[in-house]
Amino acid sequence: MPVRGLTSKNLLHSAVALALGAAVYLVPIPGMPDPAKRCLAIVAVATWLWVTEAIPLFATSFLIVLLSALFLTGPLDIGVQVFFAPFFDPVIMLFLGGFILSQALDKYSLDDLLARAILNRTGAKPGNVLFGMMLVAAVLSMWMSNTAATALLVGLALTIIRRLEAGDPFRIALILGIPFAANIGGVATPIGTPPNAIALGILAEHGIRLSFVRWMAVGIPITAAMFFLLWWLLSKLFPARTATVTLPPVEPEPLDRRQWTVVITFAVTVLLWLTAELHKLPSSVVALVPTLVFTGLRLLDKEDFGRVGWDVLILMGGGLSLGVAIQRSGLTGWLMTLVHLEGVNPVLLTAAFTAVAMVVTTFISNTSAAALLLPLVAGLAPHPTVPVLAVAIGVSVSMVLPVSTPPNAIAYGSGLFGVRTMARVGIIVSAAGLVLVVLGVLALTHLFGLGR
Amino acid sequence: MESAKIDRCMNCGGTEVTNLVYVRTGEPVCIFVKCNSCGGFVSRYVLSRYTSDQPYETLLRMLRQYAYASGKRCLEEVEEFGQTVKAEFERVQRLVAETGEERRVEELIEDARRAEKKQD
Ligand SMILES: [Zn+2]
Repeated sequence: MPVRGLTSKNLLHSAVALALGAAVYLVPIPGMPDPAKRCLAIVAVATWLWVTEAIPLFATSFLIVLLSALFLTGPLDIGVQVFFAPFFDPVIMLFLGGFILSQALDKYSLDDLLARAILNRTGAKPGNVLFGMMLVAAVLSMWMSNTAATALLVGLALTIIRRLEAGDPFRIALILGIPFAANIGGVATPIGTPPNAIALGILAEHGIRLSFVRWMAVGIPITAAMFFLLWWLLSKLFPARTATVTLPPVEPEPLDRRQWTVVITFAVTVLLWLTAELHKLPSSVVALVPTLVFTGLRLLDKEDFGRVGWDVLILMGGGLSLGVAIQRSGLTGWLMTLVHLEGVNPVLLTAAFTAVAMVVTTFISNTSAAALLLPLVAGLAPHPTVPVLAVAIGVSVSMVLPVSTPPNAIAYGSGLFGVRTMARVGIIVSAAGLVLVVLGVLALTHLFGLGR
Repeated sequence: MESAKIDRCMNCGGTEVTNLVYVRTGEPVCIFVKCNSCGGFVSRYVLSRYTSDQPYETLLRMLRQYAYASGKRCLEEVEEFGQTVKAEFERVQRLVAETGEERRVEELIEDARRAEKKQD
């Protein structure tokens, strides 16, 4: 068996990362305080490793803490707990709750049942079936990982695709619609996808607290607008050759006691998240409800608990920790002395930040792009809420290549389309996404008074 | 250590067998192997993971429990998965033809375990 991690390429990239960090530290930069420079070196190491993925994304998170502990605690005279704490930040706890919900929905086939219930009602018109498939993908990815939602829906779509003739363009509409809808659905809730949580964590670090429902007030309209646009686009580009498509009907079975427990817990949790502004319970505390119910009642056992996306949580923790380092070290403060953004038109500023982020994340993971860019955006922008939200949502709606997001990669694995087909649709969706996200975030934050 | 052999009926030596797949809620899937010549029990396998002739669909089933952060990593795994199964199948067929393995399956498992311990 080849030892996958220990290739000379990976070792070289790791060495380059460390050398780059050292070089950044040693190059004289006039007027830059020493801690800021140390932090910039850490950012350089993390960037190189997150771009090349020479070591797993989450391993870089551990390295960030190690480097911060070694090189920042002394000059800043702060304890290591400052860099460890973000790994158990409230947004990490919130996300853990989301993962636990996701595990339970999948283990007790409720995601599958919901999908079939909706698809049983779409009828047989191809446009409606596409709409139904995309709707389920988007709705599930609001609460589950985008990967999990895509894997479920692509599996169902394959049963339809197998009944279509080999050249029918509608097959492409289905197989592209699902991952794209899952990417889009992820932006609707704080737990939909990791960049959202990083944005919330970074904003909290700047003293701005956004509730679950306020995030959704911004996220849902953007998701909806992009969803309809995508559906229209795919229907136009890949029209079906047949008048009807069919999904084999499945007789619904009544839910058993364990399934009801999951449904009720899910409903209570979501209700508590949505009404947080009334009862004042933080969403991270509400996230303990499913965590406690499902593990306590053994609806999820030790193995299920182990399968929770711990690596994703660690990656997010590392991102937040890097954000703390960037702020505490005075790196953003120093950048602000160089770049003055007070007078810049906020629309232009948000558009520029978002466009850069969307290009960056075409090639690197959404979560690491968010982790690298959001602290800088939050530090540099005079009013961070709008650009932070736009960048966080922007990285999720950038979906040009199979490597851009895990859902894209999964759909690409079907072998039903080439990179060019995905890129052709992806570029249109991403470009429209840029416009919709920038204008949407500006308008909606203004409408709901979240602008500061 | 690495080896492969054709599962054989201990009763009549037949190699023509039928797989009976046994699935129960809450228990691992079992495969009972039945001899086609004498109808006797050949062996029972307890399944840790199943891959059909459509590895992509098996992968989809697996990914339903996962959250990925990296599109790159996810794509690598998607691409590797089908190839690994195919490559292993070919290797196993070659091994069967080349080694002429004589040991019983339980001896093979025992030997593999011993070899693993030695490595530690
Ligand atoms: Zn026999």
